[in-house]
Amino acid sequence: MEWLNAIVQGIMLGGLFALFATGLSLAFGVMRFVNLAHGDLAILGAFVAVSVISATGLNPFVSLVIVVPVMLAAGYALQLGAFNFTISPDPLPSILVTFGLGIVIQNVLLETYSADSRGLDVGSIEIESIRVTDAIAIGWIPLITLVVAVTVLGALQLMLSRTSLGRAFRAVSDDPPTARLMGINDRNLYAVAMGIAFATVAVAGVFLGIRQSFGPLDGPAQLLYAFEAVVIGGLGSVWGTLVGGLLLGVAHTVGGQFEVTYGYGSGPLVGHLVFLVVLATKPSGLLGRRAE
Amino acid sequence: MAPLLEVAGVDKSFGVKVVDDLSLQVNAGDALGIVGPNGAGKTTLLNLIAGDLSCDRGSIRIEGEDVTRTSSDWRCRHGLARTAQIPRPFEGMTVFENVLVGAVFGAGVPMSETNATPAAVEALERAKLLASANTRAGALPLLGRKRLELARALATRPKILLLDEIAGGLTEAEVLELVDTIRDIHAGGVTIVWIEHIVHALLAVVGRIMAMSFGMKIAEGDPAEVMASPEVQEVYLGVAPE
Repeated sequence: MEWLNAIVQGIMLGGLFALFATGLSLAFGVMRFVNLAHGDLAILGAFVAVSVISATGLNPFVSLVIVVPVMLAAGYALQLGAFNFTISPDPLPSILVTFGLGIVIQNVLLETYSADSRGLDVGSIEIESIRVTDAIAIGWIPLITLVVAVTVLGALQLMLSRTSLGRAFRAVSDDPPTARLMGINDRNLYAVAMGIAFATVAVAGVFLGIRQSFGPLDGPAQLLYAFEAVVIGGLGSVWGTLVGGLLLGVAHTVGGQFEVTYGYGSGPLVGHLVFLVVLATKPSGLLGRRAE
Repeated sequence: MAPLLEVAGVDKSFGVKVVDDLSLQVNAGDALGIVGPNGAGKTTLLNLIAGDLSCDRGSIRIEGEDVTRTSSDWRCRHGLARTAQIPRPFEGMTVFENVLVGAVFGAGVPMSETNATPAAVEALERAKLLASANTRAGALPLLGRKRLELARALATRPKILLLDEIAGGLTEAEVLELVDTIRDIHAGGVTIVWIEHIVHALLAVVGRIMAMSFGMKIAEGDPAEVMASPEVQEVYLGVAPE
């Protein structure tokens, strides 16, 4: 029963990982853009929520109504003003620029909010849960996180497969020069994609902040899990990102069962091992397209 | 009235000059063929006109408006379309989706998919590809891919259509089929600039031919006269003038 509980809790945790990975997966899928600042952006989103809440007194969930548009606009502007200049077949410029951006974000957050850990308080719902059996209880917050992750990824998949914006994303992802010949302004489209990526990672950051305490330097660890989720699931695959996140979450909680014997790191360790096994045996990811 | 397309004194160099002081005028309703040996700079010229490459010197005007510094997607939205020498469909999409992308984004005005659908269907009809609308583009045979290049370009509602060796690689029977289609498209009011090695295909459609060699225009005019001229005979067929 303990193991079953670990798996159930892992699926819940996986929702958060999938939410983190969504924007990374989208930016890579649409423009082969590797964003090393992704984790820091999640933390930035959480701190924006801190400011919004202290200014307005809103509930953290409700603060998303402000945080998400702010981050969306920031993503759009940053892509147009900076990231677009790094788009090339060579991935190095984007890696360097976003690595630098991550450092900038961490230090601006340190200056602005100090190094103290913060949390986003949503009230008593934080500790409430649904009892499934005597041994298994599902917390409301993890459940809401999972539902939001599935909804966000589902909406993204629908957008990509059914709408003109989605078709434009698929067109530039496949062949940017030909997409331009169809009248698509690819630079503007990249900015829209980055806006969506920022919006989703802001949601992830706020849910992280509700779930646990966070500080200005916590971004890189989140980036690592997001990358692992994307690679496990398959680069550029929306459902793959969800599967990758869930699998990574289950690996963490099942690994966490060994904590008593091996100490705190056993959960992340098993997560990393699952990641390495997938990378070694199926480099294109569980649901990824075969490498072209 | 200004010509539909005017290329004036255009240069392009990649270390060596590939297009050299080239000028050219195309009026609405024209069909111009461009011939020349491999490496003459024909495709580069088309890339310059379409905006895939930028000119080192000279200017390009559409309906009198200087478009030399505009991007290829801007030119597409303002009436210019081109097909690629090697068809490049969006392979993961269906034929219809491929054409729909052109119909939505090439329109030049914000357009919903519902409003763009009639244009997409019409483009498929004109390119004789409607029967394959739901085929995955990656699964099309070569003639189908060439037709898809045409349909996608037509869906963007071009005033002027640039064709880059669209008949290349096809069987003789397929070339004749495609020539029929292109003749219909021209008859429907689309101005055509067509690069082609298969001369008889060109002659069935175009009213004027320009011959290029080493980036320069060496002859232009009536198709039969241009093809028979000593300059063209020499560079194109390797026959020395008498």
